[in-house]
Amino acid sequence: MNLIVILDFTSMVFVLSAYFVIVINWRHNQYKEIRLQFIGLLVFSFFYYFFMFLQWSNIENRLDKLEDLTGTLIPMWWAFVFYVFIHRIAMRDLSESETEFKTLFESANEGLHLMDGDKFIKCNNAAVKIYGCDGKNDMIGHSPLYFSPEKQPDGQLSSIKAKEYIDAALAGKPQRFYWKHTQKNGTPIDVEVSLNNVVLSDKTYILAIERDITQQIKAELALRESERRLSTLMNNLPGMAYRCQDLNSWKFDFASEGALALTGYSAEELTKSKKNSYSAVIFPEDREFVRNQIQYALAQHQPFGFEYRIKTKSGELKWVVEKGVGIFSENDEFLAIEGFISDITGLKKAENELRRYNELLEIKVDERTAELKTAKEQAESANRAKSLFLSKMSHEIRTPMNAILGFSQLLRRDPGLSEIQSKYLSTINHSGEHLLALINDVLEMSKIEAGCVVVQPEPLDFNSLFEDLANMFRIRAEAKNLQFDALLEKDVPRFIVGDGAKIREVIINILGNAVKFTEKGGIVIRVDLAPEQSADGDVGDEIHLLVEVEDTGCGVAKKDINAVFTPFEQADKEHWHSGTGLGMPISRQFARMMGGDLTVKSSIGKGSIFTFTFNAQLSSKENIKSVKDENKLSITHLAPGQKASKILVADDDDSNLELLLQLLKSVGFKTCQAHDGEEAFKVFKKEKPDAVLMDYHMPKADGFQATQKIKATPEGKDIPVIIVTASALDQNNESALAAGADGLVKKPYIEDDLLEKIRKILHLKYIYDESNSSKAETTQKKEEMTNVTDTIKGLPKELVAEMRRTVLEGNQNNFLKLVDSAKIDPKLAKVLRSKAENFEYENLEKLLTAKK
Amino acid sequence: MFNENEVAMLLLCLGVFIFIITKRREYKRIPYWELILASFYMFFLAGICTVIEDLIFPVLFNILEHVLYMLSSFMMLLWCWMTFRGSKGGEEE
Repeated sequence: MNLIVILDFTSMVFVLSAYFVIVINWRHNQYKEIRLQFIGLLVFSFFYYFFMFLQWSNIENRLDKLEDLTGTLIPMWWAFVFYVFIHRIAMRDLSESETEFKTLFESANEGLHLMDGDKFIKCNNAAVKIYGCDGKNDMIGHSPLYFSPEKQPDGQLSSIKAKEYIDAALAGKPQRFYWKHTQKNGTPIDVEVSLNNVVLSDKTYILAIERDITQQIKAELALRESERRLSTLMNNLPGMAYRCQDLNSWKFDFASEGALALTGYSAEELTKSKKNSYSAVIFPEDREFVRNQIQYALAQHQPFGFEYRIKTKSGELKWVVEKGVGIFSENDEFLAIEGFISDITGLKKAENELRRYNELLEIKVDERTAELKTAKEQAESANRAKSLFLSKMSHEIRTPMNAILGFSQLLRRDPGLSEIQSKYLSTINHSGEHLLALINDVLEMSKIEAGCVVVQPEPLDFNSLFEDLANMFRIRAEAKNLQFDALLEKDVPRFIVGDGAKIREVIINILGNAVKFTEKGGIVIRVDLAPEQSADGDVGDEIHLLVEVEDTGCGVAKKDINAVFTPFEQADKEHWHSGTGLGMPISRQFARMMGGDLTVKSSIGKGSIFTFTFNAQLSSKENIKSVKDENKLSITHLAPGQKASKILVADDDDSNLELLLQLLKSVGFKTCQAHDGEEAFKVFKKEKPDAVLMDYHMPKADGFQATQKIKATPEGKDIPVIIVTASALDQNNESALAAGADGLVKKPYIEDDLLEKIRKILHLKYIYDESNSSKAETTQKKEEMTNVTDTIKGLPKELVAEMRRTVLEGNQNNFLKLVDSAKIDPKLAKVLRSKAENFEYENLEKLLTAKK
Repeated sequence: MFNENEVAMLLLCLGVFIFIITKRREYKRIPYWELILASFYMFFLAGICTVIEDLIFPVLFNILEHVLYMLSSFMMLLWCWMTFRGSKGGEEE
């Protein structure tokens, strides 16, 4: 009995503990639904026990009742647990499971359908979207065929094909296939379908999972099309595209169909065949080269390109060019090379042909060069011959000119000359000087062309030179009633080192032209530092000078500007002007030789601006002094107390010999003479002169040889020798000094220049005539010209026109006949005759044109 | 003879037993379902023992009945403990 009570009591404790465990977890939401039932049951149990306990009167009775109580209460608990608690938990779990399933079902990206046979009974939102429907109701109850075209892309009827798939799925065979659907609005879509059977509540359904692959299909089609195009392009290219991973075997992973045409091996042979690799196709001698080129390019990670030979399957040798690039992974591991090989055999042949033609051309060019060289040498030879000819002609012309001018000058010294004799002498002198000027121009040009003219810098007083020229041309300009302004900027240095003769000649040429071609207005000569000099600032002794001559003359047309500097041409082709047309070309050459230039800006009717630039160096007054002192004072006689030095004159030309002798005697020198080099030496030995004037061109021994012989003797080594030459070439100066001469004078010489040279050498003094006759002559000439112009205005037009024509023709005889035959004023006739005899055609033409 | 309340309890348990058999799939979702079913089966056996004790070996079946009660109660306590021990107060699902 006691055991039973203990067991029951223990059971009660366990059960109540179980209650307690549940009750203390009431707060857990999972059991919220059954909380009230638990509480109710607990309260009921408590009161039940309590009232039962009150009924029990003794302990034994109470124990019996306990047994009964336990027997009643525990089944009641079990009934509660199974009917209420467990069942409700199960129901709630089921509900949760359904919610989870629903969530999963709806949140899937793929379209999910549950099909009963071939009818949709459930679907998710993704499926609605795929089919383009407005809601699930549009789909549920329909068959998949409702959303399918009649036929699938493979041509089968959709109904038959769908049935096959559904039947197979219902039979437990999962199906996966491509299907063409039509959306509700008729748009075709591509889907991938997966069918599985599922059993729900003992019934078999079909779960269909559908994925929209329309875009994927489009992308695949586009990719396929792209590949097809690439493939077509590659196969139609005249060459072979390739990819190669194994550089040891040269087995291609890919080769385009062009391989067959290029190598004779098909693409398959080069990629799959074990015995054929591209390495075998490469010409054996070029294999190493090809390998090295590729290895080098891969090492540098650079594209490669080179040419080599291959041997085709038929044994034909071809030249190919290969261009490619190495493909590397992100980790810089070599993956493959990809490239293109094309046939350049034709190109190579053409290249060889071209090379052959080039070689032929080079041979022809060499031949032609040789011919040209010969021609050049011939031309140079001809040029040398011309220079030699000119040199000789110069000598031959200057020699008699020297006599003509010299004697005329000598004769003018004679105070006993009658007026008519003076006039004739003056005419001879003017004519000679005119002829000499022409000859000098021609010779100067030829000397320039022969490269015989060199710049001879010497210290000079530029201010003095400028003033002399300005004064000279001011008179000439004023004679034509022209305004003449000479502006020398203060920055221009006074003392410079430059080729004074050339500077003077260039300025004279420019100013001479300005006066010649200006009839009204004026002339301005302006000297300044060249702009580059001004900009450079201090650049040492080197200076750049700019001489600008502006006139208001007739001007030069733009098209004729070049003619100004072209030898033997005149810009004004309508009017004849005296001169050789060499002045400007010579001046430009001189300017360029002096590191400058001579340019002109001009416009017709407005005038011209000639700009002459040249380089010079700064000098000092000390260097100039001697130059300044030698100004133009006419020498009349040796100063009193001066020794009458004996001078040996050697010349093979009797007239020149006589001229020199007379000149020297007129000044007060003693003289002795010789007619050739040998005689000169003999006379020197015999007469022991104080100085020697030695002609260059002489028979037996020329002036240089005779000078060398004289200088070689003890008594002759200190005797000054001056070479007198009619040669126009400057080289003679150097040769003379080399021969030991102390100076050189060119024929025809200015007598005062020669006498000055002698003075310097012998340290003598002269008496000078300081009278200035030139100004008086100019004034007289100006008055004469004014009268002449007025008188011409009174002449008949026909006569003036005829006279002008003969002047333009240069026909002196006809002009003189016209003057003689016409009944004109004797003074006018005298002036016209004088001008014609002195070849002053330019002035004549102007006088006659002014009338017209 | 048979005690009425004992027979009523056996019939009651039999109903529960039938219920369990028919809804066994759903009960398997209950945590530690083996324990609670074992508890019930022992209780059911105890009910049978109670009825049998009135027929044969009363002492043996009576003792057996109460031993089974105790085991059933213990297993129920164990199930409650196992099921609720991991739950936390106030936790929301």
